[in-house]
Amino acid sequence: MNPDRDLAPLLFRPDTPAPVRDALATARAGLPTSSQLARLAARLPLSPNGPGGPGAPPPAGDPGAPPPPFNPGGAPGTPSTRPSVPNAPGAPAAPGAPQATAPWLFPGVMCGVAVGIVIAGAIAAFSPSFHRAPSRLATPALTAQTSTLGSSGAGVSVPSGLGSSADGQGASPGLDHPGNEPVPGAPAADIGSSNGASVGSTAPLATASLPVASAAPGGGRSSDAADAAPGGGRGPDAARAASAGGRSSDAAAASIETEAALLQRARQALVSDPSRSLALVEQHRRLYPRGMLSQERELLAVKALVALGRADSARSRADAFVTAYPGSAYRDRVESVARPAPR
Amino acid sequence: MTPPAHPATEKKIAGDHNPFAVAPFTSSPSMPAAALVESAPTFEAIFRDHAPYVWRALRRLGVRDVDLEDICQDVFLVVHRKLDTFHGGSAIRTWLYGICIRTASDYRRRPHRHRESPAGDDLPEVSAPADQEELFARSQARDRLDDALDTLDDAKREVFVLYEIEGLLMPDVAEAVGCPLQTAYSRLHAARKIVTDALLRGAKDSPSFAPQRRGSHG
Repeated sequence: MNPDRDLAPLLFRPDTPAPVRDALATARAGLPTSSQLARLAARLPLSPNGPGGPGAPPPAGDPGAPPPPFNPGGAPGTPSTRPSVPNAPGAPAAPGAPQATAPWLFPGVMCGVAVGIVIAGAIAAFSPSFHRAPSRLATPALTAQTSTLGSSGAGVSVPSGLGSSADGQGASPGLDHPGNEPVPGAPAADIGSSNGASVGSTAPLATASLPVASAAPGGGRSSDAADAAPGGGRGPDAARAASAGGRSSDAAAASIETEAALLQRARQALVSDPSRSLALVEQHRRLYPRGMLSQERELLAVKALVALGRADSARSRADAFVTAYPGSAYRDRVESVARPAPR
Repeated sequence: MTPPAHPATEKKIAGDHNPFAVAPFTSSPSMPAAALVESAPTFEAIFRDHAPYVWRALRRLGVRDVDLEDICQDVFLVVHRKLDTFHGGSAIRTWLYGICIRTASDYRRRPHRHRESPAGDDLPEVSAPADQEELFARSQARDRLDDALDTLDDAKREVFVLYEIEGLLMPDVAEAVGCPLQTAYSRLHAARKIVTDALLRGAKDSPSFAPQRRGSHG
């Protein structure tokens, strides 16, 4: 027996029976659809603009051209963008955030925070655009801070939002949310009591998905996650939070939910009106140059170009895709769409 | 199967025969070693690059379709929580699959493990219309594979899925499932026999099994 040959995966061994090979090949092709990935993305604490973050430069180039190369793994040497998920559960609090200090050790700091609470509370009271809690994740932060500072009441929620500002600036976009829309869901105390230790941010980027950011204190799905929005309600909840923030902030407007919806429209138009589908895809590229669904977008673009009979453009776009995402799970699909095998 | 005698050659041998093996995150030849730790992947990059694989792996590890979204979410929330503890000591993919293994294992132990399927948002793919017969054959093949995988115990199933479907190298498989390399080989060997027998038996019992054969095999 040849051990080298024995080690080869069954799929690539010539002596593998056809049913086995076919089953393995179909299993390998069993990747999620773009809509499934979009739904999943909407439930995760992802940055709306992807690794580039809200400050990522806008795309260059004209519509229809292949997208600029993108390094999926992040460019070596560039600063890590992990803070784009500020105050990730378990991560240290952002510098400058009130909760980053130890108030019981520094009474002066504690007093300063208390003054900040009062000032921010006053701003909140007089500002029509004050938004109490952009999402459910705000409430654990609120509770944690409440217990730390020994304060109570809605005023605490303001420094909670302020404190979550990753750059330490005084104005969190979360405070710009107009309206006083209460976020539907359980009372803050319920969430804070169970998950308060693992969360601590009301960052704007998380508004699209915060309802679930506190959902996994353990390895499995917690009952809190299920209770947060039963019956698949987490998506609409997240969308509502995202839309609340999106009215005043471009970054918040670029929500995962919107990104997914845009691509979904492009997919639906693919068969009936491929030119419109391509236009929607290009719109997605302009709005979300580094979006979470960039790969799905490119797959759609190639399909639309093929449907329009622009085989050359489809191939060049497929080549650009392969260059940008050499390890993509969609690589085979993109290539097969752009270069269909002769039958 | 006779596992190779010399462990030092394992990775090379396995890599030579695993055409879809994905290079580990830390293997970029152009990336200096000092930069590896600093350029740890962001959560967004991990999701973008690996979510499809995580989804697929979970499915073959026994997570039902209706639960996939939930369990995928669980995996990525664990990733989000523990990303700070990942320092590039292993490939990101191996680390991810380790989380998948544990999450799927927890899932399989649950007495009641599915929720209502979200209605109305599971739109079908609207790509070029595929041959219905081929789609049916694929679906059958996948179902048959799932049936075969269900006959495996967890340990064998994990090794089989990671190696035969996800394309990990055997040392990475052993690391992901947390067993010695030789044990992983033993499990793979046993799992292959069980799965192959089950698939052949199923193909024989089902005359409708007629997927399009490749090349001259048909």
